[in-house]
Amino acid sequence: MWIFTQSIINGILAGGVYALIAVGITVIFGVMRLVNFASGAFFTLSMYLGYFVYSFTGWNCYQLIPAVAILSAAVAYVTFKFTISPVLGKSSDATILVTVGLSFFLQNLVIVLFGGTALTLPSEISNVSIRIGEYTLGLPRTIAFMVAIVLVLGVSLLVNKSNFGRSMRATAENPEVAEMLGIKSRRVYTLAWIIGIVMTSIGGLLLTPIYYVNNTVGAPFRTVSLMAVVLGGLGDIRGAFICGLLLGIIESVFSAYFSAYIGLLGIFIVYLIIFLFKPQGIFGRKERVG
Amino acid sequence: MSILLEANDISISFGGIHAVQNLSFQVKKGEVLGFIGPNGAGKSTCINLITGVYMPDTGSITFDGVKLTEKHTIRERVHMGMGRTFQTPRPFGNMTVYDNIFTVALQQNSFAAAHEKTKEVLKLTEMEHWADVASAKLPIEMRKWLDLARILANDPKFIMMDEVMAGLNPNEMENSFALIERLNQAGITILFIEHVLRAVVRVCSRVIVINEGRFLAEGEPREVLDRPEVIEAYIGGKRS
Amino acid sequence: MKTEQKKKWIHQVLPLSCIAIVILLLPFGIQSNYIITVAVTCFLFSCFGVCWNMISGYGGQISWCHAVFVSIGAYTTILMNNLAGWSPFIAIPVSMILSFIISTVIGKISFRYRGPFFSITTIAFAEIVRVLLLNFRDFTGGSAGITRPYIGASFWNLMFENDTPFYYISFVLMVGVVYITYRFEKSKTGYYLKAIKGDEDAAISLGIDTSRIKLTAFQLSAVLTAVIGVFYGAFINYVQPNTICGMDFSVQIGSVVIVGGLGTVWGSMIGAFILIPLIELANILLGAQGGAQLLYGLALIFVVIAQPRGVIYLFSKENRDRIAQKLGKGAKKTSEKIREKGREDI
Repeated sequence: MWIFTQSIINGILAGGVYALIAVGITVIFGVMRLVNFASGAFFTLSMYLGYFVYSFTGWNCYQLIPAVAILSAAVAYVTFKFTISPVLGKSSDATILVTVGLSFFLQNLVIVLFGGTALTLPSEISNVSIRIGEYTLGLPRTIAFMVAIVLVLGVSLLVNKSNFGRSMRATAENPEVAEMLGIKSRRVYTLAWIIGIVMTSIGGLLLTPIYYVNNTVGAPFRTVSLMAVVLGGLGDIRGAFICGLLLGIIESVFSAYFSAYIGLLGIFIVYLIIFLFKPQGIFGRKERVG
Repeated sequence: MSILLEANDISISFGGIHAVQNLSFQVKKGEVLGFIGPNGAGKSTCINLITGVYMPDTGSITFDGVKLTEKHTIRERVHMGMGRTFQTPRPFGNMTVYDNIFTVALQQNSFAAAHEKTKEVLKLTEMEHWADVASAKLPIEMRKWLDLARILANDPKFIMMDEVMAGLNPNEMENSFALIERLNQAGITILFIEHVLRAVVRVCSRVIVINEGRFLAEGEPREVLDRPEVIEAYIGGKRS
Repeated sequence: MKTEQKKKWIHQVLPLSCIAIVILLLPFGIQSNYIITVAVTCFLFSCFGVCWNMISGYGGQISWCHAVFVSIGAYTTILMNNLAGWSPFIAIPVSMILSFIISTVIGKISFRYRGPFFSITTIAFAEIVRVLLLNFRDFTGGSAGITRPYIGASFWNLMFENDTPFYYISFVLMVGVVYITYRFEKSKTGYYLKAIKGDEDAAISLGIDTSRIKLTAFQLSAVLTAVIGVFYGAFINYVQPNTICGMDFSVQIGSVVIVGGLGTVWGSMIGAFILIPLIELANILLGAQGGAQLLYGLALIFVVIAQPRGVIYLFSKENRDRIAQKLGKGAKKTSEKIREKGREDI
């Protein structure tokens, strides 16, 4: 029983970052119907950006947040302008191919810039944990979880309540009508992309205390978050968030009872089973195909 | 005249909004039935119910003597003889006009027979000169015709035309009227969903009016369109 | 009719046979085994590209798990050899069955829905297989990989002193898969698949069984990829999860096709013969691991944005017409005249 509860706790904490990335992907998808397959690469990149700033300031992971947010926003802006913007509105194949190409490019760019060996961002709290009764909560993961919750809440408030959110939803609904109402759809797309990327990047940075920085570190995070996005019903922020946590729990439970690498397999099996029975994701609708 | 399609007391709602409520109507074999109503009346939802995109929450639809169930997928209904066009035409943009039709014709024919069928359809729709044009480059009215031509390659009994006249100029409309008449003479029953009321009066032998998902009126086009409740729905409905 | 045949002869059969003869004679003129090795890689990547193109090019269903099918072929070959001393030719049917089963499961579930589901599912699946390969160390050698030791040249073991025999084998394989794609393109399934790429909703509304067609194409593509994977495994004699089963390998296959021309018979070959030598060259010049790989990503992005139809577009009739028009040689083609007449009539 202890194992079970402890693994659920671990799962929720790990799931927070999945949820954060998944919501980042969803914000982008919701506005421009584009699945960001490059999220894993941005996740990786942010860790390297963190290392870069650290290497001449010596700041710790949490002091680095603003700097990395700004740098990744800048990278997001540039990539949007040169890679995403030209394929918007084209077939979904084109958007898949470009984001995958971008992902591949960024993943190898960090090798060119920082070399192929794994780096570490030293942190005093790497091994610190909080004890609650008989259960332990790793401090870095707990902080990452809390930051993730705050960011997700912030973004969903932004989307649902603010003026910018309204123009986002209007653009998602019908870009032409939105243009007529004076909304600059390009600007909305750019901002949505930047928000999505910065969320992913902060997720990456927050895990530097417990992960080595290497060029493939983002891949499993991308994979799990994409599955969470699909299960959540593609474009549904609440769904993506809940499924991110859920997949975190599933992974953790499978890892606890079998072996660490079985966790991902467990997620995939659950993903397939849910799809077999619940075609439109967990929060589905009536339409059917075929 | 015998009955080809019968909707019996069908209803469907989406998240508490009743898109179609207790609607019943019949389509007789060989007729051109107009299906009209103001925006958001539930016309497109009805098409989706008939073609099988949605299943009705209650009620039933019978086509050609067969009661349609969950097991009749969109595809099976097509092979029973249904066809539909879309409000915005949807050609296979990566193919020529000929291949668009040919691909569909292959379903019920061998390669040689499918070529024959394609030529026959091209002739019937007078699209022969467009045969080797990339369908993505067709002008809008020809795209609408291509949608129809592809359906014809399946030898349908029943075609649902979803706003085929929208966006056409008077001259193009005349050509479309002639095509619809030709199809009808060839024995195809047509459900004609339309906003352009002039077109409805011109081609339909009978119309059904629905409003807010409910049955409103039925009868000879000119007479029905003069009824106060129909005028009210069209003018008043939009205001409220 | 007769002139048409003559035209076909001059425009297609003749140049192709010339290229084939040059390719067949080439090893006699080249002493360097390295160049032959690169050429074999080009041929094999053409094959992978052609297979990937079936589902992703013609059908528009972008797969990122073709590396898994390659791995199935390669791992089966090497494991069977090392554990039982069996020939790669026995690995062929085994890996065909394995990849058929896997593609059926993945396809059955994800093709029922449209949009990016298929791509996402393939990414997830590939990632899982990679992690499993890394962790079942006893069996797969984990991240160290496994090697097939040299035990003397023999065709039955697909093991040779140099790569020249592989040069011919991979050329034959390439001709084989190209022929299969060609037939596939002209089959009913090929037509339906293209329709699905054109507009899936419309295809469904016209009675095409879209999920079955996509599944068939995916199965065929997967099984052929696994067969080529067997030869690839025998060629490189070394498999390691991160290189052969990572998403990177799938992206490389995809890049080859996209650079050459998505959804065309010849595109994959053109792409392979442009990209692979380019990357070899970059490897030599840049030396770094990342530098050469960077090119794949750049090429992919650049082609999708600049000319989604790929390099093959430069050779197309359309492009020649466009250039001819630009040069002002604008004698109108008959087809265009008819087209214009059509507009007047209507």
